[in-house]
Amino acid sequence: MKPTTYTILGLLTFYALVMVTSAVGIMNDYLLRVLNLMMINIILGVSLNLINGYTGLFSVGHAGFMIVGGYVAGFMTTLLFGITKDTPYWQALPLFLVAILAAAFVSALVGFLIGLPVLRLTDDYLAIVTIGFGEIIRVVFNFITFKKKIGNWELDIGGPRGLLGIPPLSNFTIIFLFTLFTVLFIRNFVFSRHGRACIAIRENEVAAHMMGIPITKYKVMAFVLGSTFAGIGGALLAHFIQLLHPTMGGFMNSVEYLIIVYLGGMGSISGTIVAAVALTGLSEFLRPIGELRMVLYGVLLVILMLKRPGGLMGQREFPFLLPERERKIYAAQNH
Amino acid sequence: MLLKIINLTHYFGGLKAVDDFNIEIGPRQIIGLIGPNGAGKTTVFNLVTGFYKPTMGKIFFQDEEITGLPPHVITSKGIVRTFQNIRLFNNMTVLENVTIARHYRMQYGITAAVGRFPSFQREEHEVEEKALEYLSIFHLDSKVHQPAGSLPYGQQRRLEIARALATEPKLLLLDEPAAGMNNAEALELMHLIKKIAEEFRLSILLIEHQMPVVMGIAERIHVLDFGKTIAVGPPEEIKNNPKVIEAYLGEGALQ
Repeated sequence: MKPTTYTILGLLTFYALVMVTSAVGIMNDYLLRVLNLMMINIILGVSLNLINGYTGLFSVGHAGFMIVGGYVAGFMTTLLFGITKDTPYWQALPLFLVAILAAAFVSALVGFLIGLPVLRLTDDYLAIVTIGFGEIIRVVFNFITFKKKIGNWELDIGGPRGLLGIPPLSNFTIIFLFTLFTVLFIRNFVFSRHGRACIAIRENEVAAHMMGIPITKYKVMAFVLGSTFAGIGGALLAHFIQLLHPTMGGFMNSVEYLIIVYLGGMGSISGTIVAAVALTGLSEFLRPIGELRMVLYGVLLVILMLKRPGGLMGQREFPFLLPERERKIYAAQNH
Repeated sequence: MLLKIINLTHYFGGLKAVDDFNIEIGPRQIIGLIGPNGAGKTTVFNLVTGFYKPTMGKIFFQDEEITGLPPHVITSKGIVRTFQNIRLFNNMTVLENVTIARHYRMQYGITAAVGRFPSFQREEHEVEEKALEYLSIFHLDSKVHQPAGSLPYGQQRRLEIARALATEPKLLLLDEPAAGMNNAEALELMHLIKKIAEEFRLSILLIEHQMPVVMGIAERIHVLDFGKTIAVGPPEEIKNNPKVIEAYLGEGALQ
């Protein structure tokens, strides 16, 4: 059997195991929720890693893109399509997929509009601009309610109250499939000439430019792709926790995704997955101490920077996550 | 004429770094560019390769004006350079360093990459073969999967040249390729440079501090001092030119 077959079998087993255990009640709702949250955080972490880890940019506004996607999808399903939690799932699902697509598209567009002017500059202005973007988004969703009656619809995204009553359309299967898609997409992108171009820019921008790589194009490409998947993650999250609040797009939320990336390893998909799972689990575990867990994260990061400055995985990958050619090279070097 | 530079002048604020620089390089010529520190040699390279936009003057490559074009476009036209301080992609493998140079010659798009289409497989296979060819010329084929940053200094220099050649340039600009090498190593490198110039039918513009090295391979030498061209000519003439000796060793050195 080829190694890829093992990976596919493993994923199928995982999926079947979760479905069966949750159906018979071994896995309770709470655990399933944590599992779903872990996967959404994987989507957000891996997409941020493409921007910050692989391409070496410094985006601090990932939650901003997430919330844009969330609001777009939430607005569409809740207000535009009028889906409620009583709508039959088979009816709601296609509309939900349309909403996710729209969320991805809008986040991509916003990413492009922000990325293009900023990434043309050589110095690192992206951090400042993305912090600003996150705050602007938060304020915009706080103050603008779009309270208008158009025909039968009352369009109201809630302002500071938040967007409530979003139908629970993100189930385990949907989230699992999108996580798989995101990881596969970004892995295949990274292990291609396009990904190599991004990594080369991180490694040495001047040399990359001299080797014929249009650096602005690739920076914008990585930034837009990352933002797109953040939007998808936001759409899934909105239909999972069933509410959206402007503060979710703020700076502190972006920091949580940054921690996932830096803890796992800049330029390691495997590391991001491990860190997303570990941190989501940890924050559930630490729920009783509330915001104090951020202090613990800080301590964790300091220890990490002292002991493993490159993150848990550095730039390495689990062999089963590598494409076939890279896995062979890995095997040849580590036999 | 391969490269033609007319009246190239560049200011850094009030400082005239390059002052009215002219040069013509024909096919398959090796030309030397020498001068004391701060003479403006590297600035000339940065202007030709598009990292700086010249204040005045024009640059033509194969009768086409390339003044002010961005570096990646200039590379695709056939000019490539190496750097004085080695600039490799340290965390990428030796092989990946060379495949990067083939990037602009590859076709497949993002969809093909993500979907692992046949065009992806074919081009990736081709690029690997091609990269290995270049690496074997520079005797680096036993190190293909090592991170470039882990190579010893001399091999890093060679890798940088291999990577530059992999873009298939017509004109190669070498910025002090023998820097940090002892005499024997430098001479060996010069033999290699001469060999590749012949094998790949290249023209080379060479900045070098080690005199015996440039004298040995350049058919013509341009000498810069404080941005001005103070002498142009064949090596023997330059060697005995009093202006050049003065620029290098200071006034009165001839006594």
